[in-house]
Amino acid sequence: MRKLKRRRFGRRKVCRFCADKSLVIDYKDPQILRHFITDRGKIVPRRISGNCAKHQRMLTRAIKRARIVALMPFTATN
Amino acid sequence: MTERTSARAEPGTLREYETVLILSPDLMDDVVASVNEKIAGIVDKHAGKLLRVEAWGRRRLAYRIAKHPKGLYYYWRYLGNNAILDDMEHFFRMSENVLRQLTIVVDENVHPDARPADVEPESLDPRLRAARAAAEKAAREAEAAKEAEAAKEAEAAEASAQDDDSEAEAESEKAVEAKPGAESEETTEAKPDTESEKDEPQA
Repeated sequence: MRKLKRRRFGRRKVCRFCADKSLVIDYKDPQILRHFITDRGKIVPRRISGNCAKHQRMLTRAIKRARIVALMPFTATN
Repeated sequence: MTERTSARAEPGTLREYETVLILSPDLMDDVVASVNEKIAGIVDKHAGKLLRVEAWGRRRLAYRIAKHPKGLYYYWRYLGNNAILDDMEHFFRMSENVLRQLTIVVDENVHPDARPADVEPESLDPRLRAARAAAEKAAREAEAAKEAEAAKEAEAAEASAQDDDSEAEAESEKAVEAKPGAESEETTEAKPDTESEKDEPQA
């Protein structure tokens, strides 16, 4: 069985935080973080969000912290 | 208690911590105040320094904690040595009012003078804020009462003037004039300037 040859994604998205240095990732401010979770509350993978590795790690840490202090949900199945 | 020292810490410097606290939202003001006092006391005990306290108030929680849909949020920023957390966490775990806490290290080897303290006593004690709000409200009500009185006096003195326009103009003028808590005499005095020549100047 051959695997379907998948095309690599053509468009290279730019990391939102690298592009705009003023955007600071903070677990206390869920407004920005909200863009990076799915409607189920899952963290969006870097493939989709286009973030660079460093910022994705910061983002993940911030989201997980925000979840602990109930500023963001663990799951959003309401 | 034995002093814990870290090999990384330089003597004379402290670590900068940040704690987010979620308290039960049904707490009475004085209970909240006593909790905050206790925390401030722990900081003092470890020769720490309180940098900032913010009371975020009641917020909707993303999920129920201890069956509460809302929580009372407090945000603390302080300096301390690394032993301070022992006491802090002990207190948080024992306290039935603290529903959740998250403490992170913001910075290490911070010299105490490098961070200015910026604590408003109101954020520690919600009763102060309530008292201030009540005082402001009372002051506003007193002013409004004064304004109403001045309006009534002026209207009585204006009995001769049948001009509706001038009266309306006088009312708006008074509203502007009475802002700095002016006496009723001042307001009636201001009127003749804009009034028609019908009136005699008030003494």
